[in-house]
Amino acid sequence: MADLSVNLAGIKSPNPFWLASAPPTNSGYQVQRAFEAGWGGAVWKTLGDPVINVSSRFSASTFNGQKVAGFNNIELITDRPLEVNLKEIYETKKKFPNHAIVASLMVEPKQEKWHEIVKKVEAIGVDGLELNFGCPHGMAERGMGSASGQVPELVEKQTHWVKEVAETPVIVKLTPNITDVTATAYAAVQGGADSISLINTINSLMGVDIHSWNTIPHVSGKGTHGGYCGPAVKPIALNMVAECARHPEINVPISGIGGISNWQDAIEFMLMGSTNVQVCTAAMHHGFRIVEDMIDGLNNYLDEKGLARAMDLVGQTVSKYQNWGDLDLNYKVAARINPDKCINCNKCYISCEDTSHQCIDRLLDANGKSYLKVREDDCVGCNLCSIVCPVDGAIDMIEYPSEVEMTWNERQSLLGKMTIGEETVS
Amino acid sequence: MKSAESEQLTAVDLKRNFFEVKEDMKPKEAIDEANRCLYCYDAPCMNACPTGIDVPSFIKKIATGNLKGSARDILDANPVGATCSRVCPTSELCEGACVLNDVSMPIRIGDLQRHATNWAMEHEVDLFEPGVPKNTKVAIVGGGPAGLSAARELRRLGHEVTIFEAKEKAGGLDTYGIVSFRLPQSVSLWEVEQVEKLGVDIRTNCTVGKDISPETLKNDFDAVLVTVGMGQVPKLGIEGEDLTGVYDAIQFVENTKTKALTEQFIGKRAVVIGAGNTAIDAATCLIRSGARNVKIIYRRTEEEMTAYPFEFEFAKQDGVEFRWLTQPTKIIGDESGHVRQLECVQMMLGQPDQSGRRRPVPIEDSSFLMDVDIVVRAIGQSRHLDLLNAFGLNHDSGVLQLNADTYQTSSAQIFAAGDVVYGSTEYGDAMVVSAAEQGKRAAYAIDKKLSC
Amino acid sequence: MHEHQLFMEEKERIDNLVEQGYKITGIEENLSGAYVHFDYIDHDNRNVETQILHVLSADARKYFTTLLVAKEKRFD
Ligand SMILES: Cc1cc2nc3c(=O)[nH]c(=O)nc-3n(C[C@H](O)[C@H](O)[C@H](O)COP(=O)(O)OP(=O)(O)OC[C@H]3O[C@@H](n4cnc5c(N)ncnc54)[C@H](O)[C@@H]3O)c2cc1C
Ligand SMILES: Cc1cc2nc3c(=O)[nH]c(=O)nc-3n(C[C@H](O)[C@H](O)[C@H](O)COP(=O)(O)O)c2cc1C
Ligand code: SF4
Repeated sequence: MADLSVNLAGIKSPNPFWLASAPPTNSGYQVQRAFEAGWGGAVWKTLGDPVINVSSRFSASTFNGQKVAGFNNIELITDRPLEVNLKEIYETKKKFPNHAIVASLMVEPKQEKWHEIVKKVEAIGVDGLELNFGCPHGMAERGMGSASGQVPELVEKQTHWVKEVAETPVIVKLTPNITDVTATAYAAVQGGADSISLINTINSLMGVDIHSWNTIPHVSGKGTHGGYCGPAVKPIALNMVAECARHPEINVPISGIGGISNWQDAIEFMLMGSTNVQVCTAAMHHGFRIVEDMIDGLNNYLDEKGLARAMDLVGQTVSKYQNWGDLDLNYKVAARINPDKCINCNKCYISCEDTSHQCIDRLLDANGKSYLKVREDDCVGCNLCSIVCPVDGAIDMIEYPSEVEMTWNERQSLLGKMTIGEETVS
Repeated sequence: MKSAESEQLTAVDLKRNFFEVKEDMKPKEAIDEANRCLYCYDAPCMNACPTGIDVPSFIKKIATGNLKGSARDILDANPVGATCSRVCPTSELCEGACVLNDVSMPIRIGDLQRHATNWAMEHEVDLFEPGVPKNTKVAIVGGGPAGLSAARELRRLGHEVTIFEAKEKAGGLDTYGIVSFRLPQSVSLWEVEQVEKLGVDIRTNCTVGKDISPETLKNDFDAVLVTVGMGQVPKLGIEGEDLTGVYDAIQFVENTKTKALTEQFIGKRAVVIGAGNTAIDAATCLIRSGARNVKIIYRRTEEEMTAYPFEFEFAKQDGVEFRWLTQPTKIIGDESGHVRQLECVQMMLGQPDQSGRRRPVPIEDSSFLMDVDIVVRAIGQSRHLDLLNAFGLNHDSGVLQLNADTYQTSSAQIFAAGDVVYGSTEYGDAMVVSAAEQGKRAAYAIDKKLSC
Repeated sequence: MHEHQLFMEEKERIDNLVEQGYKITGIEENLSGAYVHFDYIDHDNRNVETQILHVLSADARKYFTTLLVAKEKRFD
């Protein structure tokens, strides 16, 4: 059994799986059930001036019959008075002293407002604070959430105000609704953040009901943009985490969030620089019990890899994530179809023929049986055929390591020296 | 199903025994299954379908909720696609070809096809239109799947079409011959209605050769298409065949589809002679009619049986017993002329015959008696020799001579399709789907001929 | 469709010149691909002859620069 415990900027938890600040962490009852199920930490549903929510709040996208490929909400922060939440946080912490409880906070961008809430929350005993600069809907219209999270100066200033009084580690939760997330991440670090967490939800409109012409969801015939999360956002979140992780001046630990549904997803985020992960949609889809497989799967994976600690995973892939210009142009992969495994659905053929480089041939063998073959010389190694292939192992992308590595940057600098008319280099 | 052995059968039970065995797919079940389809390119399922239904396309449309488009895809290629979804031996055709056989479970293509065509049956939509009138008249003799399919395509091509059908209703064996618990008559009749809606004139209760002469058709129509299928089950040629209690399998099945279900078979012991799909149908109908014991006797072995494996399984599950290498030699009656016993002889397999199957030969002194109340013969179907002769067409013991490209018989004006040409030989059973495809092709051949 | 064929033809042309002793002395890349200047330089370091290849295929454009990069890396 590997050591699954993690330490995020001083916040310790028995495993890296935390519930993100959202409906699963609304109340003491829920968070205690979650800890019993195995979750290592919870970021309490965002505290602030209690709101009033609308009814009809969530919606989800179904893809080819697969429910909850993506999830959307127009819910706001907690609608319960601060005292009620604090009492339940206190009780929960008492029952689960070794689990991480982080209070998520959102108030107006005023110094005294931040000071007030930080002091009140820390007084009852939490392991850390998470500043919610993320929610893209509702709160943003009131100048909070992503409205302040999109402006680097506001991020820096508010983080700074919090740091003036905070005694526990401060995590700044970033919004993805910005062109370059490293700008606000950097601002958070400048403001003194001990850690950043990302991503919050992405601006979205789930759909339009083609029968009633209403938005999905609608509130009495009217709709508004919501926040998108769940499996569909994972690649976006992973990139944002990676961009922060590889940024030389964003040197605080990261809590990864966005579409994490199982232990494999969690490992990917950790390899890309997350010290722990936060989960919302997967728990909302399946209940708290899914953490059991997350823990078990991570543990088995670590044992298999011969790693003693989950923390050993953190950041291992970061150095491999680089600029396009530093990729080797001479590296080649080419598809090879394995006739023993191929079931002849021809999906690779038609996708390559219609939409890629026309390099798969449909041939007949000596017995008149049809088979598919890649003209490897014409194959550009785009991977499309192996992506659409329904059978594992039927298409291999064969690697042809380059004899001479040449990146685009190298080539450009060479070309710079070779502009016509200049002196010979070769 | 309630059988005579277990409980006392009532008329209601009998009726229920003839309800469709397989349930419709539930909507979610259909969508889940449709989403499992890989949407193969140049899909083998489509190539395995005799009518060439674009299977991946109709399945994709189920997945997106476009049931109208799905039904249209199916019925466009196959005018009797609702029937076929229920009666096709799919494991031998589309489902047998599905690429997922190799790595998972094949897609339930037949069930999905049924789901989509059910939608069409439940919704009054016109999926097809008659073509621009061409001033040409085609007579079709026989309103089975071959005739209906041809009629629909000819109408879509703008020809005037009249079907002459001997029975009270059109649909051929779909309406009268295929057991209700696999194919309710309503499905076949709906398909007939679709053809009628396009403006095809269907004259039922009109036997060509009796009510109207072949000559009249030749004179009044530009082309005649013969799709009369095959006839009744021939006699066994043994003593006692005229006793009460001896039935023709096709007639027997027809009775279960056209008359009130009779209680006369409850508790009876029955023997069905033959081992094709028709024999299986008769045997399972007997069980469902309350017979206490039903045996299929066949002079060869399980190996040579022509029934499909899934049919054989179905019969065994219904409780039908099989006696291989058994040949009936005499039916023995009681004083009142009713079947009492069947005399049989034990067989063994000898040298192979022309079909390559080993010929059964009687074992000397092996004859024995079986106590039975009902004997059903299911040894194939006879041919409509009289009609073919009346048309003056060349044929080989009732199998029409046909030009495979033009669908023309020995008379250039007369075309043919379906069982009348290709129907059952000893090598295997005819299929509705093949009849439908041949009907389509004959229609195109006629159109080509009449358009030049 | 057979992009590889074009590459093989262009590569052959490049290799031919290199074999004959030509050296790449200038490259101009624009919307039409690459114009690669090959110079033949004699013992007195005099430019005797220049040939310009218009290289179209991506693989060939990669190829001639790889020749140069390989040389640079060998000298490093
Ligand atoms: C018991 C049984 C079960 C079967 N089960 C299946 C099955 O499960 N799946 C499958 O694919 N196939 C099955 N078949 C085979 C299938 O029914 C036939 O292959 C198909 O019906 C042939 O179509 P057809 O149009 O050629 O002939 P038919 O369906 O036989 O239609 C011929 C029509 O012509 C009419 N007719 C005949 N003579 C005249 C005349 N002189 N004048 C006017 N009309 C006339 C008849 O009344 C009939 O309506 C079964 C057959 C039988 C007998
Ligand atoms: C219904 C709902 C309500 C949410 N409320 C909050 C919130 O109050 N505070 C917050 O920081 N994030 C909130 N989030 C965002 C989640 O904490 C999380 O960042 C996001 O859902 C991405 O993770 P996931 O893909 O695992 O769901 C909410 C998400 C959902 C679905
Ligand atoms: S072969 Fe199977 S998986 Fe492929 S299209 Fe047909 S039904 Fe779908």
